[in-house]
Amino acid sequence: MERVHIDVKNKFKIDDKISQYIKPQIIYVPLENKNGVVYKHLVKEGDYVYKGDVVAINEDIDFPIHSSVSGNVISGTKKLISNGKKIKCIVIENDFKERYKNKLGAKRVLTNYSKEEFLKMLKNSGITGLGGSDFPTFLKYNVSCDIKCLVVNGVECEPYISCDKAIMRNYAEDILEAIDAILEIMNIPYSIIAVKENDYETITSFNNYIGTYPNIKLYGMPDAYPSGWERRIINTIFGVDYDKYPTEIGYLVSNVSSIYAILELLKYNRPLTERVITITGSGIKNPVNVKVKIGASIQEIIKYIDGYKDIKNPLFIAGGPMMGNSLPVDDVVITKDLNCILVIDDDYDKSLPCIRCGKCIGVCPVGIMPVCIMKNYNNYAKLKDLKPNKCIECGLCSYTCPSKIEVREFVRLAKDTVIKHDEV
Amino acid sequence: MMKFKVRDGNFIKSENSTNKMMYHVIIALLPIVIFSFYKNGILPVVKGYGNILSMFRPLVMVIIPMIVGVFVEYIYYYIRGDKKDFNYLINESFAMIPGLFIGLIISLNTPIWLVIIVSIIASLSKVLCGGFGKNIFNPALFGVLFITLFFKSFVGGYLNLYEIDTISAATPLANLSANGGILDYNSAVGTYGSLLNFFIGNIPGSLGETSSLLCILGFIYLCINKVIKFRIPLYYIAVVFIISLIVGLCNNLGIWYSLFHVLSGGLLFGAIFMATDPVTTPISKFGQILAGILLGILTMSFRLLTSYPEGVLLSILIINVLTIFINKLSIKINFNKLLKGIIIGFLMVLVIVFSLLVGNYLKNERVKQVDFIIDSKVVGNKTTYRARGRGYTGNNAITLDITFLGDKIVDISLVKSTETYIGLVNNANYLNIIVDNQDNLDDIDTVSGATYTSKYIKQLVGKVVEYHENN
Repeated sequence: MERVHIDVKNKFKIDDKISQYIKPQIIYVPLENKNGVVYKHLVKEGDYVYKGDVVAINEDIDFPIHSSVSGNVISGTKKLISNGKKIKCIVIENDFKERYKNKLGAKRVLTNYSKEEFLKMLKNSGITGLGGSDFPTFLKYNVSCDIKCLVVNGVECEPYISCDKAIMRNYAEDILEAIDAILEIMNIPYSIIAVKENDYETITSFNNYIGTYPNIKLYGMPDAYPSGWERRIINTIFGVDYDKYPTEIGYLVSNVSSIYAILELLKYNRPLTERVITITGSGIKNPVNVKVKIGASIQEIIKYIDGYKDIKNPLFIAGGPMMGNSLPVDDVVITKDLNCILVIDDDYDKSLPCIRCGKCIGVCPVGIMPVCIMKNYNNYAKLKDLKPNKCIECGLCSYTCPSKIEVREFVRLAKDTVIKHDEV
Repeated sequence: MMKFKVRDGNFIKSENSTNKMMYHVIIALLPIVIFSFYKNGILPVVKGYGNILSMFRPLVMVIIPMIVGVFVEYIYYYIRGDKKDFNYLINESFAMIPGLFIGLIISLNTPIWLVIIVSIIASLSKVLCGGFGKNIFNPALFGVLFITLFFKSFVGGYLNLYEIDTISAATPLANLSANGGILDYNSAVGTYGSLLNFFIGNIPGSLGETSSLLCILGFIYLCINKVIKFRIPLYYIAVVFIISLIVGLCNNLGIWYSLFHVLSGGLLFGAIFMATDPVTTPISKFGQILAGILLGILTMSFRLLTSYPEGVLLSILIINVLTIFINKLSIKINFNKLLKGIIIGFLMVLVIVFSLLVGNYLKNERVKQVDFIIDSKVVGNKTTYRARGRGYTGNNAITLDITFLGDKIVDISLVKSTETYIGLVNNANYLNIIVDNQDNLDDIDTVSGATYTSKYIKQLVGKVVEYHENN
């Protein structure tokens, strides 16, 4: 497979400092996540909620969403979330008191938990994959077989996103501490932190402390896309493939942001109410990594960081430039999966006819043939051999296409064709 | 609340674009155009052949088809009622690119009107398939194939004015083919200097194909810029090398024979610039490897087993047709690595078996060649030999009856011939000339228009004389 390094034309200056904006006027709790999982609301208009109260729940797996502020529930409304859908939200007006119902915040020794206790806490605190999957972490950690190694994913391979990097550089010691605690609680022999091999500053910040932790190693992944893909990481480090989840073969992969959230959980036993996101792009005056309340509106935060710069054709993108979604307005709710807001100029050229150069086939990380799928996206009989369902929508085919065709969108359509046909 | 434009897709694009790819190809071809201008235009003038007009002929041969290409597409779209401006034709349909290739692969002395016909056919073959990106055949090759089929007698020679006067032979491959595919170093390469000449490009041939050096530089340039499907030329050239190496070894020829095959006949030019045309070649890696191997086998078959010496053009067109099937195959077995490996391994074994068979076949043909006296009769003091020998069209193309009285030839008569231009030989009374000048066979001029046929007749007579003297 060809190794693709994504060249970034404009670099936006962004430092390692993590700013904070944790005083939103209003927070919104969408009742459906980006994967379409539905939550049932547990509060009604006029209720007073404390910070950390469960306001909605996924009844299938009993997985909660908490309020990240204390305040009154006001009438519900529909808001845009990261996948571009308008979702019904619970609206809570912040009273800025940050009150918890019961004093959960007592500090404890990090490793003073049993595995069962730990899994229960993961569930009750609502921690999900903060790298963008929004998959509940307790489900991932709840495996029957022995885990050989905990792989911590610190490879942010999409250009422009730097929130994980900022967390690693600022909280290297904390992250190591958290990993060590997880290893002990979960009875995992050792851990590997995967970072980009040319990200020397991050490597240095880990190396300052890693000597204390003989069970944790660093691993340099090539600076290519998609190096941060679970499957790619496991394959590069261990040289093995797996069928569906890496836990099948004894590897547990977690994102550094999730690890950091687990640390706060172990330390303070508080639910997940904040996360760090990157706000950057040529259309942003002061690109930053900022810690925000989950549920706040992006609009408010962008105002707080001095707003927009005038550019010709601004696009507002939730997520990275490769896999993110372009959204029509900036009034978007911050959900747990949202790691980046990008405002860039749309330098989109119109596309030329496909010249069958085969570059999309050369770069595809799952080895499918995007160009052939594109030509037959409506033809189920032909799609059977082409297996569009293997696509991880990384967008490399669209990136590499010299004719600037949005190949991935056709592959998405092909996926729909297959799904529709299989349902019938 | 700020409002934004919305669009699908990803939001960062590679620097590579179809436009850039096409211009990279032109840049890679530019040194070749300049070199051929020097070799076929300036050099003959410097040496005292030709004039200012002939000097610019190589450039004219390149520029005219480019212009014609653009106009044909303009008119085509105009007639269809879908008028396109020249900016579109040049920057999005790349209407001039087939023309550039035509100029580089067609014979230098082709009349201009024929060049225009080639360009029209080429551009039509492209637009009638649906335009840029949809054509099945490489337009330039299709156009050239068309005129070699229907206007063969009008296609001029490859030699420039200087070469016409200094080199009596045709292109190196025509020379090799005329001798059954196997020649010694002196006849195959020596006529044109050394292999270094082949490498630099100082040999007869079409404008683009002679300089292997510049083709290789172009290849490196295109690979660095990730423009071409590099697997096709790599496998193509490797297979040609392997086949010619084995065939050469079967016939006690050195490694020069493989280099000769690789460096001549526009193989490098075809492999690097024409077999990698993105539109008409397989899309997957596996397909490209497959195409490369098949191209190698096809080209060597044409070169060694038919009287059609320049097999590159036809091989590439055949692969153009096969591309659709190769693509289908690679879709079918895309996820079956083992099967892919087996197919490629099988083809490589096939390459070796094929080379051994061809090598031995050519060896046997050569042995047959020595056995040139089929029959001899003695009537009184006259001895008549029936001798059969090689001609331009094949191994046993000429059969002669040669009658000796004592040591002297008294009569030569033609029994049978499959030669195309045997009529010219008869008209020139060539056989009688040989009888009259039998003591100075080397001094007899060949018949113009039937150079090869007359040369072979002379050689055959010489052999028979030698045989007669030894008995």
